[in-house]
Amino acid sequence: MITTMNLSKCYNEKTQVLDDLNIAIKKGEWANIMGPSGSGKTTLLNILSCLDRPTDGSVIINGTEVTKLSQDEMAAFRRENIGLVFQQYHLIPYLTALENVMLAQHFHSMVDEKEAKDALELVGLGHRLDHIPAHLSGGEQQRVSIARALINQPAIILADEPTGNLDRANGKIILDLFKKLHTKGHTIVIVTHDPEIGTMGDRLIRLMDGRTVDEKITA
Amino acid sequence: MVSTLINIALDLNGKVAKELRAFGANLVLLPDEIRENNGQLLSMDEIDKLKDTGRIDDVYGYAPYLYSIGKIEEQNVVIVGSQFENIKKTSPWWKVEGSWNDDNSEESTIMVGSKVAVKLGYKIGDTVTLNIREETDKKESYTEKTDKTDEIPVDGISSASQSLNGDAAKRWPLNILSEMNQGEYTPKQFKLVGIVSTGGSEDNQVFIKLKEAQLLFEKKAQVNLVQISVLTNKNPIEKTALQIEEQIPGTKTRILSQISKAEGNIQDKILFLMVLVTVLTLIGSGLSVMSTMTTTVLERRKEIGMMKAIGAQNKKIAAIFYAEAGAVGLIGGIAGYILGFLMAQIVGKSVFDTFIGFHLMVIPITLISTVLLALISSKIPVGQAIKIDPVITLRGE
Ligand SMILES: Nc1ncnc2c1ncn2[C@@H]1O[C@H](COP(=O)(O)OP(=O)(O)OP(=O)(O)O)[C@@H](O)[C@H]1O
Ligand SMILES: [Mg+2]
Repeated sequence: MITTMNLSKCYNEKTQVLDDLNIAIKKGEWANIMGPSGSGKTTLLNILSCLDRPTDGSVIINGTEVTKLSQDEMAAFRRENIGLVFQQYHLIPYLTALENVMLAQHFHSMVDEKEAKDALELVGLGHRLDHIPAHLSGGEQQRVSIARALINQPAIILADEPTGNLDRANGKIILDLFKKLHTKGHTIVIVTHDPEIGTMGDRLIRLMDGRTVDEKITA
Repeated sequence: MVSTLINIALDLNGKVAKELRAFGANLVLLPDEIRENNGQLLSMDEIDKLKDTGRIDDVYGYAPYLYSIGKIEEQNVVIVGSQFENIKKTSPWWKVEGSWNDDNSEESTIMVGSKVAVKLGYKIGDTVTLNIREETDKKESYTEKTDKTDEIPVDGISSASQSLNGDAAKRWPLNILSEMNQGEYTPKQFKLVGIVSTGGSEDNQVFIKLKEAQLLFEKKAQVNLVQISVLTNKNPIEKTALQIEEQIPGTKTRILSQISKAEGNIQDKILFLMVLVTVLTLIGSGLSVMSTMTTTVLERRKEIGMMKAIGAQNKKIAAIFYAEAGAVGLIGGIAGYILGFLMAQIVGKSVFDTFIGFHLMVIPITLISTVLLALISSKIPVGQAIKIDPVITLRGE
């Protein structure tokens, strides 16, 4: 499903963040990426989500060599195939939970209020549709952002420290959601510092200074 | 602001022309030197030639005047006989409280200047006894032109009107004249129908119908002078003046030139000034919309980054900001229109002393121009929004 070949990323001559990475994640797999701060996890995830380009090497997702796509084609590819969940949720503060989800529909194709409601139902926020982010807890906001990532049925869900800002209880709710998505067949890649999450996926990739230091099947 | 200016500009052409004409007619028709020396006046037949547009073009309106002097309650006044339908045309700035003299009515009516009315305590509806100076009185010497008047053969012609005749264009209209206790007066009663205020010497005069004046002053079908309003946009006024002198032998004209020349000039200058102010205002508001939109884009760069990250097309992001700018422009336009309309009224009232007309066209012009302005000024900020790199903005804390 996701394959990288000789992936390198340099920001300038001195800082090589990713160094000759070769990763393969299968369809329907749940992969966790762990590593110390500054090891290049976010950089890798940005490249996998077609937000950033590598300096060298290629990324093939679902049979498409995304590293060869133009800027607009990358955006279109993201729209169709990838759902993103951020550590800081990144919801629009003046839109309600429902509207935030519908915004993603608007960018994808057409808004469908019923579908958006169902997605929020699924993350357990059926009773918070009309709340703006400021009136939701961090965990609830993250659930809205997961609903937003899901709304256009992406095959792949990429999350950068989705529980990083949450307490244990809320983190657990989010994780349970990911489990649910995993059983539904979504390919999931999560960057995390939480060793507990690390043990949950099918595969754990450990990064250190831009290299894979350890890769093991956990499932 | 824009709305104010458009409102005024649309009304300006007509308004300035009227305003300038309001300084008075721009041409005066008088008997020439020979007639003057013979004490001959203008006849109504001659004046009627002014109507003949086949020969004399560009005459917009004219009003004949016949003058005499009289007394009301021992106050000396200038009595003016004229045609009031015509005065309305040549002197549209006259303010008349009550009603005008009706040129066609048989009733003896009078309008008095506002100062006369105040001085004598007259109200509309009062009966005014006007003592009209006997025209047969031959030895008069109350004017500056005493020497000249003395030489004139005087059968039936008043020296008073004679002097008015000669100097009228310069000194017209006259104020209440100095002491004139000589001569005989015939009393005649009039019904006061209107009080005239112009801010000029008319305030000290009294006005009766031309026909009645000609009868009372024994000047059948004659007048001292004619005030003419001549259009100056097609031909120079000098040309029209010459034409009139040729067509009516025994007359001369006097151009009140400062007005006619100014007419074209001032209008151009004011329009230019307004266009300048409008353009500067547009540039100013354009810049302010631009800076507001730039601030908005900067404040929301994380949101924009997120939108791009979840796959938003550039044009959809642009549409959001253009819609926002357009809505602001529309609201601004509506508010601006209302404010502008009120401002135009204030400006109109204080500068032209009239209200600026309501132009329906101003509404769409104002709204379209403010919305367009908002959209155009947003072009650069929206361009910045589209260039935002989600990798960088999403990383920010
Ligand atoms: N735009 C950039 N220009 C230069 N260096 C950058 C840039 N973005 C990231 N880096 C550097 O790349 C390295 C990897 O960053 P990255 O964010 O991928 O680390 P990370 O593993 O996600 O760290 P953390 O766990 O703290 O989120 C860091 O040393 C960082 O300073
Ligand atoms: Mg990171």
